[in-house]
Amino acid sequence: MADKKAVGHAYNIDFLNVIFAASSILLFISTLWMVWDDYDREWKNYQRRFVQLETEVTRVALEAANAEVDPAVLEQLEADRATAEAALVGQEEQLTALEAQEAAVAIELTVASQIHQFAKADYDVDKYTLEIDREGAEEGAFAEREAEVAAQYDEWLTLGLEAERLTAERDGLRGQISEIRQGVTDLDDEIRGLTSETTRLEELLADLAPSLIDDYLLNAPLIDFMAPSITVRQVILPNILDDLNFIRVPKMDRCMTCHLAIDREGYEAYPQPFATHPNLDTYVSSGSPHPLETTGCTVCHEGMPQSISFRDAAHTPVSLDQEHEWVEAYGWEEPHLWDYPMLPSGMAEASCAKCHLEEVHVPEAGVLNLAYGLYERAGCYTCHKTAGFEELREPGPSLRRIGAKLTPEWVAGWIRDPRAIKQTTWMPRVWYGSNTSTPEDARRNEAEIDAAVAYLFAASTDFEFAVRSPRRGDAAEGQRLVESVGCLACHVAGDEGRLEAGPRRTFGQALQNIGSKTTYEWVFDWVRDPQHYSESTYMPDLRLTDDEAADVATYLMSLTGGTPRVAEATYDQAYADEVLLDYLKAIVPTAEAEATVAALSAEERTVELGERVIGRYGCFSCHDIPGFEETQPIGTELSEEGTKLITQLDFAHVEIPHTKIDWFENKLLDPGIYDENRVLQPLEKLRMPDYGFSEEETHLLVTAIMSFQREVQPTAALVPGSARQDALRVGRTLTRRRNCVACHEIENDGGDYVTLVDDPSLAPPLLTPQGAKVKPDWNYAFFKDPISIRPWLDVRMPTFDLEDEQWNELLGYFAAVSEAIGPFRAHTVASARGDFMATGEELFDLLRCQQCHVLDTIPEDQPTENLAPDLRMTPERLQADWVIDWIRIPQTIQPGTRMPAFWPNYPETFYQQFDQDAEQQIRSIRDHMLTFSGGPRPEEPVVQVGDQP
Amino acid sequence: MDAIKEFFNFFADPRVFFLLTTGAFVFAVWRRDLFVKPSVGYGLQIFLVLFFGLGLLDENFRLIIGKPDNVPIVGLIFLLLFFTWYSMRQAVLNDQRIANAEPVAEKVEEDRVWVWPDLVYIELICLVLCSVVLIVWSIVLKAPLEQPANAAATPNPSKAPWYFLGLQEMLVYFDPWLAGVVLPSLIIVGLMAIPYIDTNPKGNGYYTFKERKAEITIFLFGFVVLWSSLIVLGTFLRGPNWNFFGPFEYWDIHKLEALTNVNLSEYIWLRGLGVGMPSHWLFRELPGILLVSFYVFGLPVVFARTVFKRYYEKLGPARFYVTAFLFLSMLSLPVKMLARWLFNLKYVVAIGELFFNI
Amino acid sequence: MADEPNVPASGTPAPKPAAKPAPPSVPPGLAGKTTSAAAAPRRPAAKKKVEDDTSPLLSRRGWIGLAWGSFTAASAAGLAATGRFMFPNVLNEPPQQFRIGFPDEYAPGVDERWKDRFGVWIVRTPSDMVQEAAGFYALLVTCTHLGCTPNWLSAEDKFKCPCHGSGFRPTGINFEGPAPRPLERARIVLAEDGQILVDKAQKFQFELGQWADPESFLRV
Repeated sequence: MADKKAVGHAYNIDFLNVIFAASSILLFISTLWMVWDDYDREWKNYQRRFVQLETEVTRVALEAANAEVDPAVLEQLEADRATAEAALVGQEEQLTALEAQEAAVAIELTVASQIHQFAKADYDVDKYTLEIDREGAEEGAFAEREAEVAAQYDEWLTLGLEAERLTAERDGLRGQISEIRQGVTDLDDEIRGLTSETTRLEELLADLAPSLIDDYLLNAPLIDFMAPSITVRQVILPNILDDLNFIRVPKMDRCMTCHLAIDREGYEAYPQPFATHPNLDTYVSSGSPHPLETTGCTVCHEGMPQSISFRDAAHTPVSLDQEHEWVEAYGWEEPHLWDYPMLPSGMAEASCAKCHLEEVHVPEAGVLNLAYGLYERAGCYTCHKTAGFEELREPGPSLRRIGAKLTPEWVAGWIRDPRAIKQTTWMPRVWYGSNTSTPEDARRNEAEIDAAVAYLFAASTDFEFAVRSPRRGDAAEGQRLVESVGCLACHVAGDEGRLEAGPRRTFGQALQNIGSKTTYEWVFDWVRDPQHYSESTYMPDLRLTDDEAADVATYLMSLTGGTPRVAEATYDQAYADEVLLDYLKAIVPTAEAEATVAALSAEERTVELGERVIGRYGCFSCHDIPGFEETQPIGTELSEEGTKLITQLDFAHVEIPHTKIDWFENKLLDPGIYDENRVLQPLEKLRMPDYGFSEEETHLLVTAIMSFQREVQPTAALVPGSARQDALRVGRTLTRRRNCVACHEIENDGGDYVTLVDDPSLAPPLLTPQGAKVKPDWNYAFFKDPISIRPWLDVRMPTFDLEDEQWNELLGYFAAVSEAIGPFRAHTVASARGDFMATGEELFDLLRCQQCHVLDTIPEDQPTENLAPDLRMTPERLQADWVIDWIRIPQTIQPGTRMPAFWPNYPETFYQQFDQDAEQQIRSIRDHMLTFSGGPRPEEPVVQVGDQP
Repeated sequence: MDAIKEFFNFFADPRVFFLLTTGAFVFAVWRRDLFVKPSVGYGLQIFLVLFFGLGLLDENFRLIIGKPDNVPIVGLIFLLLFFTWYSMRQAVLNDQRIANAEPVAEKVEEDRVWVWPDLVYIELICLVLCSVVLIVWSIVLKAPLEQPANAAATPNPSKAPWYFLGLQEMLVYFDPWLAGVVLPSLIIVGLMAIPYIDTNPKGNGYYTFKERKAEITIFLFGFVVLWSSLIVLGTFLRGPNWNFFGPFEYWDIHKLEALTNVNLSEYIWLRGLGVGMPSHWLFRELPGILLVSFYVFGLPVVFARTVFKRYYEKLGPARFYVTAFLFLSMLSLPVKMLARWLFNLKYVVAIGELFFNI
Repeated sequence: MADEPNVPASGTPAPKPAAKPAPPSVPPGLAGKTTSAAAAPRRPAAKKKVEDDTSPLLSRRGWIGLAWGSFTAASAAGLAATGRFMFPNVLNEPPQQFRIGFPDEYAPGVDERWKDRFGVWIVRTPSDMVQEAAGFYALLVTCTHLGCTPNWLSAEDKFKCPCHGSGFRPTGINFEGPAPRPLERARIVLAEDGQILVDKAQKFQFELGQWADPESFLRV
């Protein structure tokens, strides 16, 4: 532009015109860009793709439905219908007349109904006015009006009759009409029935087909405020709250904006975000306990609920590979702006604890239950206080009498590296971790180990074995006993891995290399009566005879091996004194510390150092050690670790992804890792011992940790409480914490013992029906004095030394599982009719119950797997009503049982008795059994529950 | 490459930075004839463009500069430099004209333009262009929605809005009462007082430097050096825990710096004289109180009689003392900063019993 | 430029009135153009380029037209975007569509269990007055007079609105009081899993004949 400024002007206007035009065009473009940027969202593309997907799926379903319709049949029906239609033509006049009549009557009826209804309204008014007016008046003062009102009522009734008459007339005419049309109508119905599914799918397909208006116009930018088909979907949950720090608000989950098929069957095989939720019966579907409309998504999966962008919703990748994939495909970034990112897929069960408070076993939450099992068995709660895990035993053996059991050399080797001696042990390695492995550290480690051992043996009290110099037994017999009596349900004797065996079969200490560990006398004493050495042990009494105990002990002593780790340094007394001084200087001034040390003898110094060492490393949390009864555990409290903010975790110099889950996983895999590259004094180092967790174990334990959360949800969100729920909860806790489930299956969980036998019938019995099946007082007596119900089984129920309260909890649990009314006995009456019993006996013989069931003698020609309990116990032991259910449908009560179903098509029966009345037949057999007596019975317990049997 | 980054990181140290800006200011005023050359003006802007452009290649620099809150401050730097340069240039040119007994540029040029269409048209175009900038900016740089505020977790760093970063910086050196209440009030009071204490009739309606040397110098020092450069410092060079970080340095929240500061009274009594601290605060803080009293009451009198005698005569006692008080208050900030950097001086007067510290 | 005699300089008194009676605000430079517009259209109109137009590409008119055109277009787009902004993409209101259980769970008659939560009455009838079949319909709890919520009086077999006394039969037909038309029915269908699905987004009014629509009545 020429620099032409007219007189008085500051600018060349022509130039300005061009500038103005250019900037206006820029403005227009940027406005359009702004509208487009606001409109174009990634979730909309997912919804568009889903429509296509849905169309495909529906098309496939339609094809399948069409295939099911027999075209020949359809053709025939349609031909018939045409014929019927044609046949109607002759009766057209009649039809028309009837229809005209019906119309006339309908009009009359409408009028009559209206008059009838109006009469009612008037009556109501007059009646009410009368009632008001005559309040407090004398009897009979309003007689006239009362009569009027009564008359109105009668009139109303009459009008009603008229309406009814007209209705009947109309219905009659209708009946005639429909009779004439019967043929056509019937055929119509048949055709419709045949094609209902295909019609529905065709309609659905038509609905989904792209339409100019519905799909393009109504979803266009700026116009999409009216009725868009592509919308944000959300569910608002008034009973589930989001904790926003300064307020708690109902959650607002929008995940289903992209996850469109989450609650629909049929999309399981499709990639995310269109896949169906796994396990629809338990989650998400409207019939499940966690329906989408009332539970939502983020209470289980975490993440940012209101977000509808993949990145901002804080999706968490499950592996590095997936992370790279997401970075490429979605521009994924570590979520910085939401404190609780999504749990990686597979860890969602950590959230069960938000509503299933204080439940150690949550049904159907396999991952979480195993995680809690590991958490308890590893004893994490002993050092790290955790709410809900307070009343638990110490997972390590008592060390009060260690002098009678072990030698100092062995203990030193054990402490130095437990897994070198017993690979399945849960005892962690305290020293020689990644932060204490330099040669200088080794010197200190050895001094500390030596001192700790010295303290333990100095504090050990004397112990006399029950039998001095017991005789040896037969190792082969001992092995047979160990492998059959049930020891292996809680103890691992072979070389199975820790996670492979699981927390239940490693409930007791591992038996590997026990021969190299202790003496025959001790093993014999223990096996014979565990409580003699340790009063608080959970090991039950297997009721072994002394000879059996000798055999077992001899076998166990043959399990030798294990190479203890050698000391990697030597030290001298002066060095040990330095270490002791180091400990003391941390609490008292140096001068005083030196004075204290100087005043002790060499031996005393070692023991003093040992006490300091045990106090520092927290051994007393897992083991009962004299002198440390009141000492506080050394670990961080984990009760709310799942809700801890990541800013409170110290990543130090370790380069790992900056998430809580990675921090926990790395910590568990190597507890000393966060000391890496730091300059630290020995007493400043991290001291969590190394359990040698595998990746799987770590993953499970992190799931457990993430489940420890601050309570946020209101009562309305929690599992509804009831006496039954309490009984279930208490019972589940007891059966897991005393390891009943290692042997017995109950509520679809447990019964691991079955992997150790050849046939399920050789394993301990299923306890799910126990509440309905066995009489509680018999059961209680059995607990106190277990008898052999199945003498052909090698495995036996041990004698547990529980309190009465705990036995009652167990009985209450069984009752709750069976939905029976607790330990109250049902009152049954066995019919005393002679022929009833006789027929019962007849059927009993006919069905040959004695072929498998013991009745004083064990059947000889049956394989062991087929044998069944002694029926003489029936009247005392079994609940009479249950026996009927059992005989009728055994497979429902105990799937896989070998008890035959004699009435597979109940109520049909093969047998002729009682005029083929199956119910009577079953009853009679039961009543016959109720006449038995003399079966094995447990001893009468001193304290009884309920009535006499 | 790393050497260059280290060079800039060194210059970002507050002592260096502040002295550098003061030095640049002194240069801009003293050798303004050089400063206002177009080559220098363009050169400085080009240097800034290169610095920011090439700096963006570094990840740490990108993170700091690219934070949506910090982007406007980059613009501030460019604009500040431009306007200071431009106004100084106009002033220097006018001064030359005055020296040559010519009328000033404002008198020579048209001093009126047509409202319509010139002014209005320009305004319209500016409106449109500003809208475009804002629209594009809002599309490209989205304000992040962070997680709900948690009283248990304070963000690190916690920075005031940009216009208060100068005050937040002052809080490092001064007690909160002074830095947050007294001095800001004095700033406002001082600005309000200007019409009453400024009796210089020159420079009305036209740029000049020579005719209003003191006024412009004081104002530019206060605004560009003390206010704006401290904003730049606070935005880009202060990081987690309010530690200093160079522009190419990673913001490590664990970085440690030893902030060992000593009160004047401790210096005098404990380290200087070797005696214990007196128990009563009056006696204890007497040296500091005397020093401050001299600074506030004595120095102005000294100035009136010696260095600034001319001003004293021109303004008269009332105006002069008010001006001196405001001027010395303003200078107390760099003085305190220097005292902190050189002597680790914490408080000149430290009366914890009365919550009063200077 | 600065030396034009009739342009006032700063600080000097107002100039002598100019000889030419043209409006004093019009500088001589542009006098020709303005007077041409003000004077009679003797000048040839629609000339592409005026003499003093020095812009390449388009004429002055072209540029201005383009500028104002795109400015207006931008403003219109901005206004439309603002208007669109007034309609939120998501409303945190109770859902319009909801499932209410299986047909077996409902006895014949008026069911009030969803009145508070979803604002519908579920009525099961052996014979509907319009469709003459057995099944369900859902009545919206909004009185058609002025929008209050009626109460169901089972003893008197009617819905009675407390505000002005409108009365409705169980079918929804208004028969007393000021209500001008019957209660509205909501769309009611069977969902895939067999539950009844009520959709308040679609309403059916009797007086428009819409109660014959198959989706206004669920036959079971």
